[in-house]
Amino acid sequence: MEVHGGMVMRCLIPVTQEIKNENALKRAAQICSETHVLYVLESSVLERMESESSYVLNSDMLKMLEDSITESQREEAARIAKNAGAILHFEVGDYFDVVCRYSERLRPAAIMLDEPDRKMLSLERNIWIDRGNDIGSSVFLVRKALRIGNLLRDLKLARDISVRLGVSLGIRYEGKEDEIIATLKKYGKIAESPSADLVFVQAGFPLTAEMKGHAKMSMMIFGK
Amino acid sequence: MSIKDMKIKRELFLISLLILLIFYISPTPAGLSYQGKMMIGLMFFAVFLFVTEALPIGMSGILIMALPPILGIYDSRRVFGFFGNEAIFLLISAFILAAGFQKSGLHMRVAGRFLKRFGKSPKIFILGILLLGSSFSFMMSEHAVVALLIPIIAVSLAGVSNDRNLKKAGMIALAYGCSIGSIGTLLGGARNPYAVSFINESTGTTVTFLQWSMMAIPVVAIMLPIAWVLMMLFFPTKTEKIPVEKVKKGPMSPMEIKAGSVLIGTVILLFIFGNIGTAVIAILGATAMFILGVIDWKDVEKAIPWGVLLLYGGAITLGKGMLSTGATGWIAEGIVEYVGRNPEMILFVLIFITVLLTEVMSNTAAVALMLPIGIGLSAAVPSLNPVAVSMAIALAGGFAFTLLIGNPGNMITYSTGYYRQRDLMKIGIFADIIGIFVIYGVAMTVWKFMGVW
Repeated sequence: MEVHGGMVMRCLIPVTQEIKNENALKRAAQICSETHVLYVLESSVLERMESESSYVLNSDMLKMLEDSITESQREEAARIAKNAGAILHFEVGDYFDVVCRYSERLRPAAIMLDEPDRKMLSLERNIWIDRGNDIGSSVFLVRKALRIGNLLRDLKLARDISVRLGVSLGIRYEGKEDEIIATLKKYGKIAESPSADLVFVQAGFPLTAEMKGHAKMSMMIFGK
Repeated sequence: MSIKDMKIKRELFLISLLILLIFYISPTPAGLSYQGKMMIGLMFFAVFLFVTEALPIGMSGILIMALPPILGIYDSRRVFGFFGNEAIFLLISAFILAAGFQKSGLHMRVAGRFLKRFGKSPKIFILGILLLGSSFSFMMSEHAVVALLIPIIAVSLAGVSNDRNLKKAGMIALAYGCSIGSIGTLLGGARNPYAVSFINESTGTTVTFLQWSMMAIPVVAIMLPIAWVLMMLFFPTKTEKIPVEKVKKGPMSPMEIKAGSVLIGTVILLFIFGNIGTAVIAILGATAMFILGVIDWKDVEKAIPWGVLLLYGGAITLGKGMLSTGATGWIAEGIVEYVGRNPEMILFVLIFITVLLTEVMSNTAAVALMLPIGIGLSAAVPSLNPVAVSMAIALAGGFAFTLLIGNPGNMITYSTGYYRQRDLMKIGIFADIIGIFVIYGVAMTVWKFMGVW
């Protein structure tokens, strides 16, 4: 599905048995044109299971268990993807490594999560952090945009999302350059900010130090 | 295992050796022999290894057997002689019996039919899982039961696609049902025969298969409905009907009939003639599995988890070593000084500590560490019955409901992806606390009535 401005919003939502990203899964139906659920059966879970059980179970049982566990997690993954109307990718491995791989392969417009994740912020991708029903408390972190071309592309993306959600886009610019301010004004309201290059942030929801360290620019969709 | 993990394990192992070194160079306290001091050191060394799993548990078990000769506590002949024990052969036979049961596929038929009857409503279904897990665990190792039942229960739960609470409750019920059932008979867990053999060797009292069950089943009977109520409170379900899959249809195969008959026959014989020797009867049952052609030797080679047998070696070395060097007496005196001589209070504290320990290490290891202390305390406080103390410790050792590392059954069911760690923790804390009071309550009432306390 095309969104405003002709941009296709492909979203990647990583899921594990501990990281469900339920808010992101719900939101994806509103803002994504193509949702990919990446369900990762963490190899550490299988390793822990084997290490905890190998002294009490024989090798046959361990093998049978591993198959059974993989199968039940695959079924759970299929259920999640079906409910979200998403394309499913099921992988066994290290959570972050697998997400990295799929981030490169699918090149999503955004990786959608419920909670900020330091490792994810280090990826060269936009990150949507969804806090639930109140859109005003969600954060859209756009990857570092040192070139104006990339910045404008990301701004278009942010504007497309705000149009889809029917909310206004607020931008907090921390520089002084008139030319950039004039460009940014075309996309949304500009607010003052104390430091950094470009930060789009909602009032009352400060960026954490962790986010600041990883994103030169971030955007946030203001509530209506 | 990654290089980083290997490095961490190596460092942890070095720390464990450091513990021994500290005991070696520190002065021997008054009232304790050098051997006793080093046995206490070995106990701390074992606790550290069991908790951190710097070595595989089975390897820790045999290393504990190898250290007393090096530390000058015992000669090697005596230490390895500990391994020649009836409980070891009961365990081996139990594994052979379980292998026959598994190979016949009878568990699929029984579990499928059982759950189908309970599948009419989610509440009853959860009760069914608890009862199924616990009743199977009367006849074989609880961990094996979890592994055998996972496929059928996971498939049934997958059929109720969007009721996440039912999935959580179902998987946790399997782990809890097996844990609770495992204390019911001597076949449920390695710690049970270990406790019986320890009681026998340290006090001369024989606890038969029947006596064990008479003391333990009241705890099972109280804990099962409590676990069910907790499931309903923490994970209220809304599904109407549960589709039970993988039900074996048609008449029972000859193999199923043979395996079922041998298993049930063995359990009946253990109840009636347990005083002949539990291992003796279990070996006869295992032999019947061969004679009837249910299993061959290749099946046995694959069926025995050596880790638990080797852990047993370490456990018994610790237990006997602590007792015979006077270390338990010394520790017991210290505890009595602190807690007082009230037998009820001491029993409660022992149950409480055992539950805490079993949450962070193998059940058998926790029981192995606590039994000598319990026996030592019963020697220091004459009104504290050694059999009651040992039984209470052995039963408490099975109640690891909160942490994944507390019980392989918890870890296995968690791995299916149906629940999160915090789900287990929030219900487990309550189950642990209630479990402590149930064991204590049964000891104070039923066991008193039976004349054990």
